[in-house]
Amino acid sequence: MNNSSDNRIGRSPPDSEKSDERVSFQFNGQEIIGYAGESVAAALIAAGILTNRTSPTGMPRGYYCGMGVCWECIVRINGKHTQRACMQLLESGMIVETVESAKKP
Amino acid sequence: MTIEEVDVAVIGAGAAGLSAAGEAAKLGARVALVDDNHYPGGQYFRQPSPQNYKHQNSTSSKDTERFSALLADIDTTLVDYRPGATVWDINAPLTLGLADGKRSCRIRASAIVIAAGARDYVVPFPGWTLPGVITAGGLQNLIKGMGVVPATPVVVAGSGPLILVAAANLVSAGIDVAAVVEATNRPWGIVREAGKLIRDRSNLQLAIKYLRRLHKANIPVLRGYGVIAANGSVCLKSVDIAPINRDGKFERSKTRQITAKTMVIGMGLTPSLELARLIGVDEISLPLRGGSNIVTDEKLMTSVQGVFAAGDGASIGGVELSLVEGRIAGIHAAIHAGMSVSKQAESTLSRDLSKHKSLCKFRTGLEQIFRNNVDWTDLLTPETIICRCEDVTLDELNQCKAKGWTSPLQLKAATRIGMGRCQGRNCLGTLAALTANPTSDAETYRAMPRTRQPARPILLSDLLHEKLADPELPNDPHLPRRRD
Repeated sequence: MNNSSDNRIGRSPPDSEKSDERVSFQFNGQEIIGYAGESVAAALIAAGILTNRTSPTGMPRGYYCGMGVCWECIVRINGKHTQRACMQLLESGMIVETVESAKKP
Repeated sequence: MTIEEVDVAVIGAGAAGLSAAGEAAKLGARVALVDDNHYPGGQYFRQPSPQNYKHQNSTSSKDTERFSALLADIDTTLVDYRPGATVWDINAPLTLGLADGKRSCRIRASAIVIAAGARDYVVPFPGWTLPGVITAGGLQNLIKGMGVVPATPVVVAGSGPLILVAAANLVSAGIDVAAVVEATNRPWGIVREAGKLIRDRSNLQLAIKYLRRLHKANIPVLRGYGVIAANGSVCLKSVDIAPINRDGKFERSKTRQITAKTMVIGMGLTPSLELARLIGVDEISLPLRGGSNIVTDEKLMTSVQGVFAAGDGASIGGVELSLVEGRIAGIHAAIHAGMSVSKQAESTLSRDLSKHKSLCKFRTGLEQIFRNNVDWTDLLTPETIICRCEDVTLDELNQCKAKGWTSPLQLKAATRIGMGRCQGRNCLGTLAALTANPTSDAETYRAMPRTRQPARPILLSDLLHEKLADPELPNDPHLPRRRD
């Protein structure tokens, strides 16, 4: 599911020509279009990406509490570790990557 | 390091915090309004991100008006609004430590209003860590704040009024809701009795409006059911639901499977108590209100002199109660800080105190309607993750218990439960339930791990910058001592 027009409410999808606030960013090397100022988490979900990190036993994890409490949606942004995707605002050219937790002994 | 001095420090810029800051400023108090979010409004008044939003959101015109009024009240030089700042410490004498990702600093206040808000009360079940399983609060933020809707079909499950709101918002956004699964199934007589407590008809009408919207869209509402598992390997594919019997146990033989890419789970709210705990306020266990709540007097002061608490961050009661409590706490905090009370503040207080009473009755009514005896630990299987951060399963906890490590602190030391980035916010409630003292809630909570600084994860570089700004940092127990 990569069609952004399906999961944004009442707003032209980012690939429409009417939009002038769209910005491009990278997720694990893939170029994605989102809106400047929305949360990184929202931009990822809108692009159909649900897994932001892996847990200590290698399980996929993503957006859960949406308000900065659970730290499940953390990603690496521009090389900076452990950023809550739900609390970080999207900027043009951001390099976003999945975070792998240290393996459980 | 210079410690900033203010009259009143307000923690949280949601409904309660904004009204507290506004009222305190009206009495002439210098206020620091500190918030973790980038925008004011908290969860309820969460606004579409301002740079670019044009989508019609679900905010009613009444709420838009109320929110504008709140913002107008803090739009004064007396209020220093500091968004994007995490309060990581609070200690005597009424000093906050806050970090913003660049540096840490201290604010000393004559009075503090804790309006830290609430978060979703969570219960673990098999598959609850799968991407696609999100909390009711998470859904609201996605829709209200970002105008993004989750993958469909969606199952909305849990208990309480919030899942009704979540489902109704999804329907309004044109989203395919496969089912609403509500654990409580109270006989109508009890619902009617509880309804009598609800004087405020506008709230009742709102609930009826939501139910009508679901009915009109043909969304099945299953009462007396609960989700027993979320299925999928990399993301959610389906959910298993089962009826709940009279003893509060799940009847697994009658399990039904529903296809879903998103499950919204709402079990009610629990106050974010960590900061109040750090400074040592008295708490009370209220199982119908998300567990531990803060004890306050009629001025909304806690057991610690000069520390006030308001809104859902003190005791779960919803937005109307938060607004009222914010005003009461703001006025009393300003008075505590030495401001003299105005005629206007006096009339606000007397009006709000009567409102407070009627809203508390409303709350009791709602709590009676959604009261249930569901045994949520019945959902746990040996493989179920209890601590999401550290991937601790029930089986690991049971193995420790078999070795005689039975107390919460022993289990924490042995498995790292509660030691991850969420600092136990997702698992300590479950750990308390699994280690509960059958006769005393107070004993159960006393045995739980303490809250420590930093109250939320912050960057070490923030602390380093604080230290560099003043090598002669005063006796601060939370920073490393120089060894010279």
